[in-house]
Amino acid sequence: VIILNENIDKILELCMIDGVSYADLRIENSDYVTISVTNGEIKETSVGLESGLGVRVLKDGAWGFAYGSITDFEEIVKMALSSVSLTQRFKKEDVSMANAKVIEDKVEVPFKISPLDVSIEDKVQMVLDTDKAIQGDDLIKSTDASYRDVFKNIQFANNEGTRIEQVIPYVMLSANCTCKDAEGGTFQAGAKLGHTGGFELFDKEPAQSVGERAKEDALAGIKAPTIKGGKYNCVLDGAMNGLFAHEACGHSAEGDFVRTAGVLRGKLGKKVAASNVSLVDDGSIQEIDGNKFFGFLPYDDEGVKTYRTDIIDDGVLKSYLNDRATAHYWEAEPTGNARAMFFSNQPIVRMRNTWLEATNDPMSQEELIEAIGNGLLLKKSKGGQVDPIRGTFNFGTGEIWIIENGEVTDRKRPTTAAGNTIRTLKSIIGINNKFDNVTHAIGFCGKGGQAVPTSIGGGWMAVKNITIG
Amino acid sequence: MNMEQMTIHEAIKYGIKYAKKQKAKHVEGHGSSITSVGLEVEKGRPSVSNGVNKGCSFRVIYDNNIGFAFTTNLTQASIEQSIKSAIGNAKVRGADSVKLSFPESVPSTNKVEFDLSLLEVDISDIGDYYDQLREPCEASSLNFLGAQIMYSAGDMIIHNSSGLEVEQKIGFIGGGAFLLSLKGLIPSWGGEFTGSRYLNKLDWSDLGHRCVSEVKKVEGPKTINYSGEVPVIFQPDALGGIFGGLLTVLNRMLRGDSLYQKSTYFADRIGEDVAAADFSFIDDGLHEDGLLSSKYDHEGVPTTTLPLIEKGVLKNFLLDNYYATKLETESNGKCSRYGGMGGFNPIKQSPTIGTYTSVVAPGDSSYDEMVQETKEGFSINNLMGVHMSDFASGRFSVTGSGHFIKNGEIKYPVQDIAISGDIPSLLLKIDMIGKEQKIGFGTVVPPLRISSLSINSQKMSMKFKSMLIMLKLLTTLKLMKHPIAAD
Repeated sequence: VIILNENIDKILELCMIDGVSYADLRIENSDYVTISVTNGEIKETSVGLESGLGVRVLKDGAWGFAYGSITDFEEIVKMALSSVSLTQRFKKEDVSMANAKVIEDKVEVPFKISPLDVSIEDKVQMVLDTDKAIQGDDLIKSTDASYRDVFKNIQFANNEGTRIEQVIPYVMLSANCTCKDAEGGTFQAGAKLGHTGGFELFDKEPAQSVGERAKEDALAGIKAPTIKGGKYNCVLDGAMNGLFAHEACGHSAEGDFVRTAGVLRGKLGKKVAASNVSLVDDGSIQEIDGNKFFGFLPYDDEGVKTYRTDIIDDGVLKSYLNDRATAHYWEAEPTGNARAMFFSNQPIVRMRNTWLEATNDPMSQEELIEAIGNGLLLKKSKGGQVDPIRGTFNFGTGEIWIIENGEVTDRKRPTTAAGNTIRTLKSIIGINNKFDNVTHAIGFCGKGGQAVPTSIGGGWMAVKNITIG
Repeated sequence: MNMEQMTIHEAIKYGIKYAKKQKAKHVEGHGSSITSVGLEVEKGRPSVSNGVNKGCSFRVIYDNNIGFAFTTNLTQASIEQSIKSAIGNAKVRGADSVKLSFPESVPSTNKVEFDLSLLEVDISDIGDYYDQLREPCEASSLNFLGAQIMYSAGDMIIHNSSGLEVEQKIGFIGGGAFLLSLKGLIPSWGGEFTGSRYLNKLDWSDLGHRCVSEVKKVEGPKTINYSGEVPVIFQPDALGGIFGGLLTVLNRMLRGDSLYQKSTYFADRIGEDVAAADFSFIDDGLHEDGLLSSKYDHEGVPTTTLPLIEKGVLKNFLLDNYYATKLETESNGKCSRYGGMGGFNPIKQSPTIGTYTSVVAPGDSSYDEMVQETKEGFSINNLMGVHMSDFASGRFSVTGSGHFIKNGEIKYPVQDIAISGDIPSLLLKIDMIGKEQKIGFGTVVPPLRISSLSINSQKMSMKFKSMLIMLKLLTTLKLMKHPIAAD
């Protein structure tokens, strides 16, 4: 359902009653495909079309927001305007927005093969092949593979004259393998592949190799001995770098959150990390080494063009991540970080592609291992959780290796890595700026009940004193 | 082609008729229209969300396999396209190994009331509830970070070609608040969340007071050097809080699909002693205080109060109609359309196995008795990292905060406590069960004491401690404001 410009104008006109200083709308039409296979059997094949309208108004310094079916637009506008009575009642100060350029654009994220042009039969066969690639060892007790594509069409318009239509395809595949040893112990490992783009994702890496990666890690993991818990100096691979950058650091730099609390509050211009450490969030970066990021976004959900934001530069906190309202509060520029999961969610400050890098003189992977000397190599993130107020984190790892006398030696069974954000930022010894494959480091970041695609890829880095297990 | 929007009833009936015309063997139409209002206020910055999620989804059985499709656009063309897609999805799967059908109509004798006053809630009521919740928080000595009220109510309709016609109202209201304490060297924060299907069961002011009290219990936490196997008391929020507790791992291990795939430790252990003799774990689709309690599950099967583990013995797995058929048994009413990429919008989620209310039967120990019986150990209030657990083996490695216990007494609050173990061993090591259950978001559980678990924790470095002491000094002397939180 593509709405014509005159209808968009009409909806915005309905919003602009007395006292309304700003109004915007998002019209979404998205196609979804989900396929999952377990132990060689197709578990789910589903498709869907979601369409709807979200309307936001800023009236007398307070937000109102409502959503629903596009055809009910008059009712939605009324609901958005009436919801302002609630925010008016509890606001302590007026919301103001930083200026943003008026933009008219129609942008389609480049793709070679539209997922809409690939038959469901071909997609199902691919997922079956991925699942089959995991099988074939007596230790393997359960396998599964899941595929999802989303073909998103979002129209954004505001009363300032911005009109943007974005077409954004996402394609992703995951595989999981569960092994069981003779003693009855089990071990699970997984692998992912995904990007913002089309089905050409599988030209670069065949789907089966995702299954093979999961199988290899599960078989190696079940045979690996456990590691004694305690503090270790560690080298983190690109996925673990990205996970730490996103979860532990990035959330603490979100302009809405940091207004309330957090370990980076009040630290703009101050040293928060070791020298030569930079923290980057970049929605505009599309690919690196021919691999496309998962958090690429031409415009955010307030119509602001995305760009690279250096949150920390050479150890010093330089910027928070902002939408237009938090940018006004922090007297900064909007950084293009306003994102909403669906039309039915309000945009909030979110990350896109986030990583830590060396400001100058990056170290090679070999130099990082040598610098640690004796410790651990942590690879392949398995998600995490952070307490941004206490400043603590707990991350899952996919592989753990022993580093002895500057050499990577034995493999250990993966477990969790925990620590304190600021202490860890200050304990970084060095970073390598060559990215691991970012199509392997994809995730959905959850905040305020919304999950949006993000990339957590980066280069390797060496850190002191991570708590393992 | 008629481009008018149909009502949900019309769309379901048309979809079923159209699917039969397209030679689908069986067809099921589901529709819902759910109004939601959310109010969140952080440090005097309110945001509101107000809307209706409306749409239909269809499952068809064609060539003896199932396909699913949904649409939020209720035109004739969209419904027909959804049916064609669902049939296409079924065809591509090939025939299933067992003969499939959708549930037959079985009248529910379940007594689950829907509080009609939920439908009367309007925006100004939400504001009144927020006022009642915030007052005790703002009156406390703590730093009030924010609060949230969530409301959702509407209709769910399920019809299928076997004659099943279920129409039920669903909804709940809930909320909570978060506060921060700057007492001691290390800031601590926390709060409470609760919800109900009954409007008059929620005492918002009492909830506000409880939020304050919960944070005061953990003010001024310490970090300690500790390594060993000691008794651990898990408080209800660490077992099943809003952010997920250890019982979420157990629930995942007791799903019928995990049983069918033999991907859970508990497969083939029905009838075995898998937990301490006085431990009973139930999934209750009818619980008076359950947010999701309803007469029927999300494919129209009457919901049940299902003992999963009864007095330590593994009794049942959670089943929907599909996996019950695969396992040659009957569904026990545990189909859900919540979760996955659909979140709390049931339209987008293909029906799957889900939980309703996780209940641990009360024991005979008070919390104080549990503490008194602990020579040295920990009482854990909340956990981080549960979702990264291994759901096949139940192995977990999490970080918690709570209290250190010595000689039967709570000594002081602690944080950054690394706890590791696995669910099968943990269940067998439950040696005390609390007699007071706490009603949470989807859980009704008492505290549990585990006789021994592996604990690891490290004290903060002297350098970091010196920084915190300096900060404390400067803020106490009012030479600077504490940087961690706004006024």
